[in-house]
Amino acid sequence: MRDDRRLAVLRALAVFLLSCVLALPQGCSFSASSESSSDSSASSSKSSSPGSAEAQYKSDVREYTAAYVKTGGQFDAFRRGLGDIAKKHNITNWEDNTITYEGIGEGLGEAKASELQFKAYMDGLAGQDTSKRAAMQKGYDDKKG
Amino acid sequence: MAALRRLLALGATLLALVAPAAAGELGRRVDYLYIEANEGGSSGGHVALGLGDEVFHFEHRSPGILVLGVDDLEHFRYRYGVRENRTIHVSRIPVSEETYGLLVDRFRRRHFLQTRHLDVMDGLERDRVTLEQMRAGALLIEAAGLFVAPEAPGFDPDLAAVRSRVRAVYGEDVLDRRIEQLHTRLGELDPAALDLPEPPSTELPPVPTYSFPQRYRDLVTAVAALEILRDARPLAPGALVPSLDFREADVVVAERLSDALSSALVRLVGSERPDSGGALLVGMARLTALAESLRQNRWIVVDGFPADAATADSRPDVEDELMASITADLARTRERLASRSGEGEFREAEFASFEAAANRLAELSRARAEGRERRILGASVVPSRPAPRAVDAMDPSPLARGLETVRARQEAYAAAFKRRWGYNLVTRNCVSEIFSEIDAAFPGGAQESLARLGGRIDMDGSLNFIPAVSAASVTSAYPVAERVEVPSYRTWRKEQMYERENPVAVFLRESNTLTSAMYRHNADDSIFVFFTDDAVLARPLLGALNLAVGLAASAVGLVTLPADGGKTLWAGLKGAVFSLPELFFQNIRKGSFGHVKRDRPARAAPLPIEVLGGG
Repeated sequence: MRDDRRLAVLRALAVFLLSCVLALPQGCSFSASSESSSDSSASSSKSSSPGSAEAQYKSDVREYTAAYVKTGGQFDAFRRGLGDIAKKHNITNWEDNTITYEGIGEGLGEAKASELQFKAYMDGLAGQDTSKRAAMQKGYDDKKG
Repeated sequence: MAALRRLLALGATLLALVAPAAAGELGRRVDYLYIEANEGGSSGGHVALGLGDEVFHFEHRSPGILVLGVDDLEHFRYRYGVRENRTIHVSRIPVSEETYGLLVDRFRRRHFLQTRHLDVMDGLERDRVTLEQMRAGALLIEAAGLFVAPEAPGFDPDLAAVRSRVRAVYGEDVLDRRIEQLHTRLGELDPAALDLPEPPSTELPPVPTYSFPQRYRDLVTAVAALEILRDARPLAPGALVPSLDFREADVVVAERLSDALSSALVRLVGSERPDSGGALLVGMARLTALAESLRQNRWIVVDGFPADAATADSRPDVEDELMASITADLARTRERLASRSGEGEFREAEFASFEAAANRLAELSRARAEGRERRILGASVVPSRPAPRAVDAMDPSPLARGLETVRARQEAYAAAFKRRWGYNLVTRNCVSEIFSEIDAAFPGGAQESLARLGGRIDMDGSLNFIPAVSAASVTSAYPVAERVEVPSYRTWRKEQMYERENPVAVFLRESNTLTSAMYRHNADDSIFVFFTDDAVLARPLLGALNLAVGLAASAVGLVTLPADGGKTLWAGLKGAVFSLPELFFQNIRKGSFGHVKRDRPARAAPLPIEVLGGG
């Protein structure tokens, strides 16, 4: 094992020095953007299934909501931020998407928002829409522990 | 026989992919991934941390920052192992469920934190653009360009139908009333109250803000959308893209989608959300496209390419494969759309995937027919064709001051981000940040890290900042239970060829870029002839030949400089530079395989190198 390591050190050092001197000083992966353009004509989604795309969206909403509970800020700014997150997932009408509400509920649960706080968010975001309220409640119950 | 072997290889790959779930039953594991070097993006190699199906890795990005990316395991292996043709070495460290959970939490939190700050910086850039456009007297409104200009004649019966539904629900004068309310709110906005985000100073995510330029843009967009609906304005020429013919079942699918979308648009008009305008514009365009699809008995989608879409060179050698890949993607997304259309909900993300695939296929066909470069649709596939809209004259002084303030805030934000997460080749790189985050994952810091993982790597004063050295250090410092190697795409394909064909013929044919059956020159690759990653003894000789080729190509590049803008010169110089290590038995360049699509079963099965007793 020690020989392995010494050999790796020597080889890596040689490559590293040559790279530094001769090539570009770029240890680690350099990324101009998240994807090179060479194959972007095909689907460039990182998620391999619609289920995982939805899960990623919900996860982003959850984290954003949980962070907002901690940092605070204006409520309309929070709502506007939901729009930005949704757009990154190619969703413009986030208000009509039940995954959004499940994610918000999970975020509130994760941040240990009180029942009273949760109720205020629910009224402010889901209004009287029963399916949105149910989705928020489900998310909250799943995460509040 | 060959088919059976391929099947076995694929089976092994799938087993490896599901292994994290199986590992969960017996305790968890952390995978330390070392990715061999290649020219271009990472000549020093790269490292990553695999936690279940997620891979976390720090990437060096412009302007000199280090950003934590997260990929799913399959995508990561495709990106580095196939496209970049790099062998991945994995060291597996067993950990308890609790330790695993703490690590996942820490890395996800860091990813979220950085992403939020990067989003805020994007928002500041949008604010700057908005203020500049306001000063110039016209805002470019995204997706408004999908419809004809207000003065153009025309009337769209499908939007008129939505308008009737809206009036039936909210009242006959609802649209005029809403537009007037929005104008009032626009007039009440104070350009002096910018409400910009504060630069990052703590480990907390940024506090959400809703800046003046963003509010202004949202209100103007909403007015534009409601006016289009009020006037039932038709789509602009070229806003629709024809796609596949309908199958019998597609009529019902399109009808269901149209009904669900129409209802969603009615609800959207009544919404109080601040950014409803953009959603209304895109939704109306899609509804019109669906109606047109039903009339023409084939799928017709909205043009999804942004005005500033990047383009790619026409490559006849790869376009057949690309065409097949996008066609398969389109068929998949159509099936998905059909299978869920009965749920009565307009699943926007799924519809957008279908729309994007249809756009990509149509663009590829058109670009081929017209002999031009094809446009590239990026990750964001929401139709956005913009149109200018004159804005009310405003006092120029507050706008000028606002613009100055936004620019200053952009600089301050970027500087604070760089202070906190700036890249340094030695002191803060993809290796150092992984180990720093591992320590930070535990309340007890470095000591607890050592106790929980059974080992620890110190960065200070060591060579561990070099990816290859860190990988060797991990195997000696941690109780690594297993070491696995995922061969690069070329290595794996060659092994397959050796099994099926004459090994000597394969060796000779695949030793160079000119006769290789699997390699196609990629514009990002340097100019070279011989692959040297698998030719250790002959490496200096082949490197000398590669060097000569690189220098010759550079000389040609000097001549062709005015014609090709320096592409050949750059590729030739890179070819020469990356040949130099080969003279000293070292290999960096391996070629890349961007033409191999992800949907093809082209993944190498991991090869166990060592199964150790640790853990």
